[in-house]
Amino acid sequence: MVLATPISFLVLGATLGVIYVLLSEGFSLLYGVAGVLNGAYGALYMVTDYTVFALLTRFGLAAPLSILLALVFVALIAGFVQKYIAGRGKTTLEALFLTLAFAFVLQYLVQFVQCSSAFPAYCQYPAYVPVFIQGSASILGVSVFNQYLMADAVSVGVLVAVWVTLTRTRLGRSIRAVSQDTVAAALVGINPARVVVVTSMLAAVMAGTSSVFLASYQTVDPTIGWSVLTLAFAIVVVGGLGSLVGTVIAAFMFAFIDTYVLLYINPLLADFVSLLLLIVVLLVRPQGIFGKEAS
Amino acid sequence: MPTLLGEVKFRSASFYTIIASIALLGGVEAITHNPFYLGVFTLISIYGVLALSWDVLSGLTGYLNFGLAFPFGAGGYTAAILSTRFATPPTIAIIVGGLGAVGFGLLTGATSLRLRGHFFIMVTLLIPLATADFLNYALTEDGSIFGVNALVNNTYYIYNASLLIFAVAAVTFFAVANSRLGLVLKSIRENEVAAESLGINTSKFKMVAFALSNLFAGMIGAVYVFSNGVASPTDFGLLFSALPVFMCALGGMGTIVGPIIGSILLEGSIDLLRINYIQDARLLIAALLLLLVLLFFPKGIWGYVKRGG
Repeated sequence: MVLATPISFLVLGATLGVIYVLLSEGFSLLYGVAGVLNGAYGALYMVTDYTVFALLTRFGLAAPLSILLALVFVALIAGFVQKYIAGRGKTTLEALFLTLAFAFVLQYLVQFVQCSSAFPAYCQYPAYVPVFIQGSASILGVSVFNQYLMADAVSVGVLVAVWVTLTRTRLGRSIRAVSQDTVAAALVGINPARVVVVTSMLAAVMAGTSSVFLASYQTVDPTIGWSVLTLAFAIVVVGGLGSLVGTVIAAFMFAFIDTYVLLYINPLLADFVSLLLLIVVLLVRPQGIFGKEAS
Repeated sequence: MPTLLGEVKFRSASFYTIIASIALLGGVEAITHNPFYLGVFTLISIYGVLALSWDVLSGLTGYLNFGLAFPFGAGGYTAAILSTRFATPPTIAIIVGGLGAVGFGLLTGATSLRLRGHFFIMVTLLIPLATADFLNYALTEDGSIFGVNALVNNTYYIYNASLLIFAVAAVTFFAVANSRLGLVLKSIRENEVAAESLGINTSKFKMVAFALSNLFAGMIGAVYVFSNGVASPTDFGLLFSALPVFMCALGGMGTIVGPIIGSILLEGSIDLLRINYIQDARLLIAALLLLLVLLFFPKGIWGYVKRGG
């Protein structure tokens, strides 16, 4: 990669951090509102990448259209999961078990369609999503891909949009009401089940958005969802479950750690170091660094 | 306090089913020497032991372990290193591999078993993933591409070893599940706080179940490594964590017979069918089955058989 200087470390860490914030806030939002840890969160990220890959390379659609269609697609899947699989009065544990099972279904479905004797024409393994925003810009003398910058811009845009939705709209008020007290929300005429389904669709769009711009720089294979799920879980737990500010801080923390390991130690150890940090935090302080109480 | 393993009633439909399954897996050698069929039944035994190991901890105590690949891989690596570096005979390497997995399990279990519910699930899921990441890194540093080579080039030895471990695991776990120890473990599943309030040291019993689970998962991991000829980071892969869960859910969790039925059905039927499309889709079929069973038949096959009979 680029020559590692303290400035390049800071710039690259920050660019990655913004994307991590989006990735983990979606996971956190769904937990806060529905009390659901979505085990299929990473699988949705993976499916977004594959949908964009298929639309771009197989059907030759333009990048913005492919991304839009892919996001609609994963939002529908997430809504379906929430309504028919994780919903219906399941406990957090049952919902996690079922969504993990669904994540396996998605992974093996993609694996089957991508490379099997049934669809020989689709066999391209692993998949590479072409770079769709060319060029790079110089920030403080550090060269950063334009697509990364676009990812940051879009992430900030989506986060602001979610923030405005949560604080300024009727839907946002319902979401916050359900997250505070489901029964009371139902009493004033909100349908909690529907709100949770909408929230899970919103969370899927957040996962998907954070994935599409990065897809060009990583190999896309059916198992990438797991490292994304563990990353989102790590950030949300270290930040404290349900704490929005804690999640933002933890997201940047993990982004800087990843960047540091990537630049100075060994790229292969990036996942390992963040997992180790998570395990230590879980054992020493399960409520997270910024969490309020033990669960 | 009476002994924990006393008064096990062996005359039951469950136990006869277990004996029948051991006879079924063992009878193959008497009928055919075709390496393909021996291989399929070896795999059924291997996955059967993994599923049983999952059930004795997670099925009985309700602590859902999504990281059985950790003791599986740890046992495999221990045995492979023993056999290549110290020329240990395979049988001893397999046993020590199991003990090694218990040792590593003490490290992870002492910490992770303090966590409840979804935290336990996520931490167990993470531990083998982190280990595989580290081993992948170690491989590139080391210069060896695949891992630790250790082949036992003897189909019958592998087949007999996995069958023996399967039989011992099935009978031991049946005895555990139907003893006072099993009652204690089930009380943890039903209500851990209530069990503690009755003076039961739940952490101790959880560790016992965890160690038993790791011991057999580790031994069968060693057999798997010897049959493959190499211990590699893929031994810590998701598949070895996920398939046992699928099999237990299909057969019926917490029943000991359930995982046996599940492994014979999933591993056996799909491998023996030898139809290309189904071969490719076997994991997809398994995952779909898991989802449907969890949604509509949470007690699994054995749960429904028992209720009907």
